[in-house]
Amino acid sequence: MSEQEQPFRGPTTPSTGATDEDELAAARIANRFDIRRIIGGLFVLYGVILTIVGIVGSEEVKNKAAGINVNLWTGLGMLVVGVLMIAWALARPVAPEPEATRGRGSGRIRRSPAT
Amino acid sequence: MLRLDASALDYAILAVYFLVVLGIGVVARMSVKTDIDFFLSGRSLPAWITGLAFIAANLGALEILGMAANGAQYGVATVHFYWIGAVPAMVFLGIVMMPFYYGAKVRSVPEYLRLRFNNPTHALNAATFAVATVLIAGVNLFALALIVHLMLGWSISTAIIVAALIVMAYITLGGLTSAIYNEVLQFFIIVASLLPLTLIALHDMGGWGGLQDKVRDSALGEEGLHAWQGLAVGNVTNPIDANWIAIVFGLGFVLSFGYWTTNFAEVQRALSAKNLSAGRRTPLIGAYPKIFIPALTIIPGLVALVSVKGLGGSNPDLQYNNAIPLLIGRYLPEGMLGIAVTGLVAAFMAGVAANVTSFNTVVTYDLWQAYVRKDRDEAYYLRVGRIATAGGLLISIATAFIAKGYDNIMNYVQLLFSYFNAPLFATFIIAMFWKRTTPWAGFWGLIAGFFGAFITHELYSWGTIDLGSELAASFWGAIIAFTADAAVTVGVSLVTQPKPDEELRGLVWGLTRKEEKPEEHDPADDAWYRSVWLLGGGAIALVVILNIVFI
Repeated sequence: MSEQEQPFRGPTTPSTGATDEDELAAARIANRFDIRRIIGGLFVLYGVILTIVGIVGSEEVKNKAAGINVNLWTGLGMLVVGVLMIAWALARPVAPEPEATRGRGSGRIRRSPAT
Repeated sequence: MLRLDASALDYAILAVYFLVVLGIGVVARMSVKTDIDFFLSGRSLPAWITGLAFIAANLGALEILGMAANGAQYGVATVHFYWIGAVPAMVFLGIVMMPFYYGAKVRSVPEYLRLRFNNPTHALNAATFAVATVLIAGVNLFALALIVHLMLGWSISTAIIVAALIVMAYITLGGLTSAIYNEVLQFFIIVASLLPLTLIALHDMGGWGGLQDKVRDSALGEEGLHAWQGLAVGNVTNPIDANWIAIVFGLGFVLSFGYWTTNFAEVQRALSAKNLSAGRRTPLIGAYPKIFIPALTIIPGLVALVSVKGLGGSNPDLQYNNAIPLLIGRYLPEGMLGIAVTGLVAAFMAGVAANVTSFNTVVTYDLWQAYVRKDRDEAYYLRVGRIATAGGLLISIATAFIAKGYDNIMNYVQLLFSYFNAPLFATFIIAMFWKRTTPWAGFWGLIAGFFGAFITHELYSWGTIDLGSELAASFWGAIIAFTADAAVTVGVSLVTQPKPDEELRGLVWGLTRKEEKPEEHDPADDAWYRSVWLLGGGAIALVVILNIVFI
């Protein structure tokens, strides 16, 4: 690893003996493993399922919860939460992927997410 | 017979969850291969994740079903478990105690006792914690099997084994990180199922006002709607049947502080945060959702009380513990039913996983490495940890089957171990604030506290002393255990030799470490919204306001 590349190193990347490829792979895995993406993905999936059931379900299913179409409302709610989670994860990733910041010359990396 | 008619769709929702949980384990395993130090990556978790995991580790189904049961039995006064109990203790842990745990670089709570006191104190605490934790994991597993049996109709044995195998798969694959990710995921799903259920139940009762009217006409009456009525000493009329001293000191100061600040299954979540600041914020961030969880347990409990005829009676399907499953069966159609069952199953698994991950850490570091095989390489202890995980789960399965046959024996064993937990807070608080506390004082204090709690409970159950209801008796037992522990700890300290100051640096109030490592300080942590005083003060203020509202 050459001297100039040092400033691009994020705080979560390995500090010893790692090549660029390792760093990139590590950053990718850290991002794929981001809990916000997992929660977001699962909530979007569940949200879509519930919303569909809420629309096409039988009258009995729609009215079971004291006349409220609980599948529809919860489904829409879960969709919103899921989308917000994914948007948050994309806007502020856990680990900056080195290629994305390379060559801009500022030496800055994206900050890790708010805690 | 309480049976939910789960459809194929509901099963599919549950299956998706299992796949995601196992997937997390597999991804965690992959990241070990690609040169990320897995344990370090575990220690780099941000505070909001560890904060949610902190309360989710405790938000097992025993907690959810149990607190809904308390809601039906005791009414609004159940908030004491949260607002007098958990929240102040969590704030205390974050502001006062975390610097000692994190600053001493201990890997477990018993390890702190080893540094502060001596090996016998450490071994006593580590061994009782390990045994108690694995037994509680078994009880959790049994409770999970029972609910799956009730709701989906699987046999209890099948449910125990399937659940244990899934937990074993994701913990041995991904370790603590896997467990914490699952806890956070589980937290969101349980809220996504309990929040709609609570709102629907409330709507069906005609809103909060309508529910209040119905509770006034129920067995609980007006007392069931207040937190602080009928608590006067000598004139106790509240449903909990304990006076304010028992509640504030027994439940709040001793039992809750003991559980939240010294139970390693909890503290481990804060220790996995990325730095001291995040570690301190972990319980403080967890405190905020904790303040509002009673709404999701007590309201369903009250609705079940006023709308299910015969709740709490002799019919086993209508016991208080079934308050939430009964409402799920009544209100939730297919689709939402799947989400709710998934949330409950996930909550149970998270409870089992929290116990097992703390068990394997204590067995590996505090028992095996400390007393059996010292000075081996890291890979060796990693292997021991994996074996301890599998061993712990096998013991839990056995415990679950014992619990299936002998419910009362399990209750008694759990009670026995609660005697060890009750006095623990006295030992910690004196050790942290009084540097004169000697090594042997720790050991004899714990022993005295255990016997204090044990003898109190025996005398109560023989009828020799009258302490009110069983719940009130457990509060008084804790107060006596605390007092006995404190008295013996101070007494023994005065007649034995204390440790020199040098050995206590970083472990005791007023004796800070000489060198503060600057690289551990993240400038972003200086932001006002990350101040532990602000976060902690805000949580306390909120709790005070809520107590006044529900007085």
